[in-house]
Amino acid sequence: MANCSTLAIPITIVGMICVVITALLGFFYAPLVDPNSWNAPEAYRILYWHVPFAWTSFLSFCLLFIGASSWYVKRSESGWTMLVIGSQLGLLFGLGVIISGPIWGSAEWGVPWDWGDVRLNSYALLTSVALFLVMSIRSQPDGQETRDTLAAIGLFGFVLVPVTAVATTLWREEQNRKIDKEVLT
Amino acid sequence: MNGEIEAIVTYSILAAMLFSYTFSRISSLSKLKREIAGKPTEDSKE
Repeated sequence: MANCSTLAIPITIVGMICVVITALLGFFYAPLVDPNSWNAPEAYRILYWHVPFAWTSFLSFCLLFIGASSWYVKRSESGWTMLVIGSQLGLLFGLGVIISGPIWGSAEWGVPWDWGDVRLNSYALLTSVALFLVMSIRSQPDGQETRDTLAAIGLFGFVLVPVTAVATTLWREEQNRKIDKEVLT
Repeated sequence: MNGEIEAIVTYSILAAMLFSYTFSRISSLSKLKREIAGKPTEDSKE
């Protein structure tokens, strides 16, 4: 455990340097998309952080799931710590996706949110589960009953991860079908 | 309007979120380390 805490700060600093490098590459090195095919070609650069944020949030929810399971099975203190960290990171990266997505959407589509798009709505629900967990952990008295309840909600939240992933895949296939149909007609 | 301002605003917001969270975690960890390091000294005083 002592080794973990010794490595935590250097690893975090390396991660933050990589984040800055990604932003710089996204802005100054990555090629621009075809300006004729996109309404807001420069806004496309948002996706260089938007997509990694989304994947990192999924990893955070995996951490939350492992922590919640570990709490249920072994009443493990490290499991509870993983749940707390997983929910905080899930909220941080989830909010990043929820903020960056609509800004890109309003620039590219003209509307910030598509209520008919399952992936957006299921992802928003996923982030709201993380928000609920973070707020509950901060506000509720710490005890076994509270931890059991919040771990159950964390497990429910993780169920939304494959739902969101499947919704994203189905939505992409549907969009491709629509584009193919438009090209043929 | 090609979305340049939107991209800059988005990166600024996300960077502020990410860096503020990271620095708050690092400062909490450093504080905890200092407290742990300080404990044996207090015990030895007693």
